Formats: sequence, C-alpha cells, structure tokens
Amino acid sequence: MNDFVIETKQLTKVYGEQTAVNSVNLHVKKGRIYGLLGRNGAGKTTIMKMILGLTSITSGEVDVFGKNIKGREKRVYPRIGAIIETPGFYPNLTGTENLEIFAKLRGTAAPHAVENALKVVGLPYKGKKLFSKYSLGMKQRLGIANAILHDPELLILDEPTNGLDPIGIAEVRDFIKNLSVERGKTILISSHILSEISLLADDIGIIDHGVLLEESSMSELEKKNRKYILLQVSDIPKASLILERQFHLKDYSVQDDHTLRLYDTALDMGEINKALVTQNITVISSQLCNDTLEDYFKKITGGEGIA
Amino acid sequence: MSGYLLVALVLALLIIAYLVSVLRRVQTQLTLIQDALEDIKNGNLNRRVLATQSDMTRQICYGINEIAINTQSQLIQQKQSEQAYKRLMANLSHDVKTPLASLVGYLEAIESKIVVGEEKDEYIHVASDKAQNLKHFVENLFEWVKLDSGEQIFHFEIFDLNELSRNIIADWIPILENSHFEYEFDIPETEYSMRIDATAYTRIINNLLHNIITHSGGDNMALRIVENEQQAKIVITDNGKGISSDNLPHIFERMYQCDHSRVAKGNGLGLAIAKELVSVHKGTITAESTPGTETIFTILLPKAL
Amino acid sequence: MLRLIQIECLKLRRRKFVWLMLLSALLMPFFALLYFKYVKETGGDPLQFYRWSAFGYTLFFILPVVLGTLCTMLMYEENQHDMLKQLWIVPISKMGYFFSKFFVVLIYSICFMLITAVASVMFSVLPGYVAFEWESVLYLLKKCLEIGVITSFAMLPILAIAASQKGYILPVSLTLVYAFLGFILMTVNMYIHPLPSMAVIVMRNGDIPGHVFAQSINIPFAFLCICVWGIVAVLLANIALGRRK
Repeated sequence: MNDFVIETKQLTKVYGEQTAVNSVNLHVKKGRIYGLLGRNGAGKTTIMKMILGLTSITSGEVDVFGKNIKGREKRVYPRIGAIIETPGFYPNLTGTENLEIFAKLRGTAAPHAVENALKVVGLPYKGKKLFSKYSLGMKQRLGIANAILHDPELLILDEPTNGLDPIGIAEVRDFIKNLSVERGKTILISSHILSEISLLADDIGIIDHGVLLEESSMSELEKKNRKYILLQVSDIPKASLILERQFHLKDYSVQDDHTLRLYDTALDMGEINKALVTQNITVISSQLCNDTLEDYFKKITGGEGIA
Repeated sequence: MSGYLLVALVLALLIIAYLVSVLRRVQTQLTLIQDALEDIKNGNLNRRVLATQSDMTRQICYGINEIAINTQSQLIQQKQSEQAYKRLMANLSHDVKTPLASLVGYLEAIESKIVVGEEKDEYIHVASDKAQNLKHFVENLFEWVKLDSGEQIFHFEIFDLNELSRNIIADWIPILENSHFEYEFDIPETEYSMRIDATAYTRIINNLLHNIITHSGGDNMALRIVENEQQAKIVITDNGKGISSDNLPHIFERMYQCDHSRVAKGNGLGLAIAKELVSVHKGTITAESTPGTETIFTILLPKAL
Repeated sequence: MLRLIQIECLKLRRRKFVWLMLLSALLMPFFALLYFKYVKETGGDPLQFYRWSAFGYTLFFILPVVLGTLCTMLMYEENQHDMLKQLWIVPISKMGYFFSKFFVVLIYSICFMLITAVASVMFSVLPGYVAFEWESVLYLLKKCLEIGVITSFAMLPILAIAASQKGYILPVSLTLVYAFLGFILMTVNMYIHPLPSMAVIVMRNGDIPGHVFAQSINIPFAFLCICVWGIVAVLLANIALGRRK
C-alpha cells in the first residue's frame, strides 16, 4: 500500500466545451496538509467535488484511502470531513440542532461530539440563535464544526477561511495546523491566497486554468524563497574575521566547513571578494539567492501571479 | 373478525421488519468495526468507528475510538519530541559553529601577530566575549537537556516569595542601570509563604529579565507581584519592540528565535527553560504583546503546590 | 430508514407554515358545520355530514394540494440552502433520501386526515346534528386512514417532480393541475389518474352517498393505476437525483 490518502490519475472534467480540470495528478500524503493554490475558477473546487463524488468525472481516476472512488462510497465517505463552497444548513434550526442532525445521520466517534465540535470552533452549545441569523463567519465555523464532527481521517476544506475576519482566519489556521500536527489528520485545503497556503501547507499544488503546474513540498519551495548571499571560501575563521572587522557584519551564519550565509543582500560583493582575496582567502563562489515565493509563482503561472 | 386478524398480521409483519432492520444495522456495524480494527491493527490510528446514539454497538465503537485516539496522541508526542531533538541538534551545530569560527579567526589573528598593541587587546576582548557567550550557551543547553530529560532534582521548601523576589531584583538593578533601563518594581511588603524551589524561581525571573535586556530593545521595564489566597501573579512588562502575533505562540518552544536567519545573542533556550520550570511549579506562563508598545509576561504560580 | 424519517421530522422544527397547513384540515368540517346549520337538515344521518366534512373537497382538492405543497417544501428547502452536497457526502443514498421524504408526507397525510376525522365528529356531535355513535365514528376513522395512506402514494409523482426541480413554482403549479385533472378525469376515466383511483378504492362499497361513478368499480385496476404512477415517479426521482449531484 502506498502512503497517498488521495491520489488522482489524469483527472479531467469537461463542462460542455470548457475543460475545467485537465489531467490532474494529485498526491496527498498521509498526515500532511496539502495546499491547493490557484485563482478563483482555476478548478480547485471542481477537483474536490470530483473526489467527493459531487460531480461526475469526465475521465481519469480518483483513489481515496487506496480505494478507487466510483459512486457514493459508503465505506469511504464517513472517513472524510468536508466543506465545499459555502456550507448550507437548515435555517430554521439552531447550530446545535443542525449538527445533531448530522451526528444522527453519520454517527459520531465519541459521546458529546456535537458539544466538542462546537467548542472547538468557538460556537455556543445549545445556543438559541437560528442558523438564518448567523453571520458569514459563524456559518463558516459551523461548517468546520460539521466537517470535524465525526473525527475524520481526511479533511477536504474548500477555502475554509472565506468570510472570516483576520482574527478568525488566524484561529482557523492554527486549528487546522493543530489537527495535522497534533492529531495526525490528513488535510486537503484550497485557497487563492498564497500567504495562507504558505503558512499552513506541508505540500503544495499550484493549479491554473485546470492544469496542475507544480506539486512539491513546502520546504523545497522555501529553499527558493530565502534572501541571502551564499559565500564559499577556503578559510572560514579568517573570512569571518574580515567580515566582522572590515564590514562590521554580524548577520551571518556558518553552514559547513566552506560555506557562509550572509543575510544582508545589499552588500557590495565586489568589495567583499576583493578584501577576502587580498587576505589570501580563496573565494570559491558567491551567489545571491533572492527569490521570493511570490516571484516564483509568477514565474510558474506565466507572469500573472496568484493573490 | 378477519379484519382484526389482518391488523394483527400487519402489526406482526411490521415488528418483524423492524427487528430485521435492527439486526441488519448491527450486522453492518460489526463489519465496519471489523474493517476499522483491521485498519487500526495495520497502524492507521486515525481510523474511527462511527456510531449513533441508538446503536447497540455504541459503547464498543466509542471504546475502540478512545483506544485509537490515546495511542495516536502518545505516538505523535513521541514523534514530536524526536523531531525536536533532531532540529535541536541541527540548529546546535550552526549555533556553535558560527561564533566558534569567528573566535578562531580572532585568535589566529592574534597568534600570527597580524594585530599588535591596542588593537590586539581589543581582539582579545572580543574573543573573550565570544567565548563567554558560547560558554553561556552551552551551560543553558545542558540545563535544558537536564530539565527535559527529567534528571533535574528540585528542592521545594517554604519561602517568602516577596522576599525571594526582592533578593533577585537586587542583583539586577546594577545591570539594568548599565543597560540604561528605567525600572519599576512593585512587590508587596507582606509575607507570602509558598512551597517553591528557590533556584528554579530565580532562574525563571533571571531568564525573563535577561530576555528583556538582550532582546526587547526598550528602555523601560516593570515587575509587579499580585497575590491572593490561591495563587501569586508575577507580571513583567517592557516597552520594547515586542513580539509579532505570528511568533507569539512559539516563543516558549526550545530553539525558537523570532528572527530566524540571524545569529542573535540569545540562544532560544531561556524562555523554554523558564516555561519548563514554571510548569514544574504547576504554574503557567503566558505572553502577550503589542509590538512597539508593550510586551507582558505573566506567571501564575499556585500557592498550594 | 427509521432514523432518516426521525431526522426528517427534526428538520421540520419551527417550520410554522407546515403546521399551519394542518389547520386547513379543519376547513371542510367547519364549512359542513355552517352548511348544516343554515341550509340543510341532516336528519341525524352522520354519513351526510361526513360526506361534506371529510369525503368532499378535502379528499379531492384540499389534501392533494396541501400534500403537493408539503412535497415541494421538503425538497425545495434543501436545494435552496445548498444542503444536498452535505447530505451526499455523509453519504445518504438517493432512494433513502427520497423515501424518507415520502414517509414524512405519508405521516403528515395520515395526521391531516385524523384531524379532519376528529373535527368532523366534534363539529357534528357537539352542535347536536348527529348523535354520537361508535359505529359511524369508527367508520369515519377507517375511511380517513385509507384516504390518508392512499393519497400520499398518489402524490408520489409530485414528490418526484419536486425532487427533480430546483425551483418551487413548477411543482406547485403542477400540484394544482394534478388535483384539477383528477377531479375532471373522475367523470371520464377513473383508472388513468391516481386521485380518482384513490377515490374508487375508498368508496369501493358504494356506501358513501352522493358520488356517482362513471365506470364500474374495479379495485385491482385502481391499485394498478396508483402503482404504475408510483413506480414511474420513483424511477424519475432516481434519475433526477442521480443527475443532480
């Protein structure tokens, strides 16, 4: 068995003339947060809907928990919690009553599940407020509570922070991170906001016009996102002395026997190289690493950027 | 007569249908439980068996889930501490290497007589400073490792917290004055006896004050103690640059430094040690901050340990 | 299934309109009361009164329209608020969903007719038009139950239409057409529309005065008609819900 909780193979969705999702191969690893990043209309929701069987698959396959998903899978779906688009609930019922309906339908993993789920998202248990009177943020919270009600292994969250205020966004973000870090849940989350994904995700998939442009781990990407000067020299102690005495540099670190990182990118490298060479230190290489994630995404999406 | 028979028959059929449906429900539940157990046995501790309030198998399902959840959280804790150690080791090599490299640089310069006279003295001074810092770091590290592995032995005795605090502060006043800090201390004159490890308590306060002097960049600090019958509250504030909300949740983690890339004077252990020590006293330590205005560290220590 | 039905009932909490519609069950008994007060003498025959209060417009018009409206409301609400995706990923089977709605309609229909029955008895006995006697009351109850059960089956097509539509206008207007058509077809052919067929089954013994049938009574035909319409409706609903993902 492989460790992918969700794996799609050449997943394609065509609406009439338009190809909404084009041969997407997604690999969501167990216990990690997978961030699906793309602009509105890039095909994120459609992919999630196909995984959940909410829309038909034009071609390709979806495997969830190593099982090929065809119709409404009785054995698989109870292991998933999901929010797709804005969650709908019964307006004539309170939040608690709404969740109780879902608890009854689906069953729960522990007693007092409704109470706990509401507590986790910060909504009152047995509150009197009807769902129709809820604010957008409260609705979103209730959606999240519903998604975690049965303590699922896999969470599929479509723009879960939509409609939340900045504090709420931070809360939800911490909460999602916790689910993954402290409880080992696998999470597939979509967003059109780069900063949000970069704060949360372990792996990231960038989708544009229905095509998955890149799939890689966040730590890989972050390596491309540092601003520093990489300096390889023959003698580290001597070099550091020169940097400290002549250039009054404190902001550097020693990587290994020959590599230094200087975190001030505004330095005049020519001057430094000259100073080092006159002291008989060989400069093997010096290189400016100055790529931000944003630049990188712009590059990948063909200059348009994501935000 | 036949009408009643018909009614009775229909009723009987309904009851049978109901019983059959209950039986089938139990049957499907059992296969689900079997599936889940197989999955859990194979190491998927996230698997849950769902049951509704009316299911006969409810208690069994909830029991299985509880076992899985507990094992899972233990496993995750273990993994986390393993990872933290790995990270610690990786960071350590950087944190030792950088000051060591420049220290060697300075000493080589002195040894090979590149510098003489006053400049040489200055070099020695810088080198000695760096060596001190390194020593401090290594000491901290050992202390933390000892704490973390539970090897540290504590001696809890009855002390007057106010008296103890005043003694600690007395040592800090000259340092604060040298660092151009304005300070304010508000410690009750009364006696407040509680069971406490004096060394550990001193360490907590020292680490927090040290943190303010080296990192806050402010020029005003205050320490206030408020006590009631249940607990003592120690509030330490400064007016420094503060901690951004992104960093705030992590400052008590070992090796966490707000300024990732930099080789700062600190070593990311002071606050972690303080937190460990506070929790040994069954207390809590929290931080809140408005960057640029005020940062508040609050320690709550219960009187009855 | 029981669970689904129970949940369906939970969903109806605070839906005032649903409960208000039950009041329309009192409508015909009340008119019967007025009618017999001002216009006609009953001569003490309870059947005359019940014919007005329970077997008249209630049967042909009020109950079908109320049930049609209920079907539409049951389906429309979840569509309107985007509930279905949440239900499908629970997951709930399409047919389980459809039949749980149907059972709600069935229970509602039975309750409706029971209210009618109780109201009829009260409105006839209390003013003293009719003497209270168990025989006629039991007869009324039996007939009302029959009407309640069979009408809900006859409304299956409307439920299916409601399930296949996003809006509420079409199912509601179809309900009106459906009920009128039933009324008209009664005089033409009783076995091509479920509502007249239902009337045939209820009045199979010819013991309810005032109804003249266009054709001879044929119970199997009537059942067949309702069954065929019902099965077609279920199939339609199956396809419609399958497409509506």
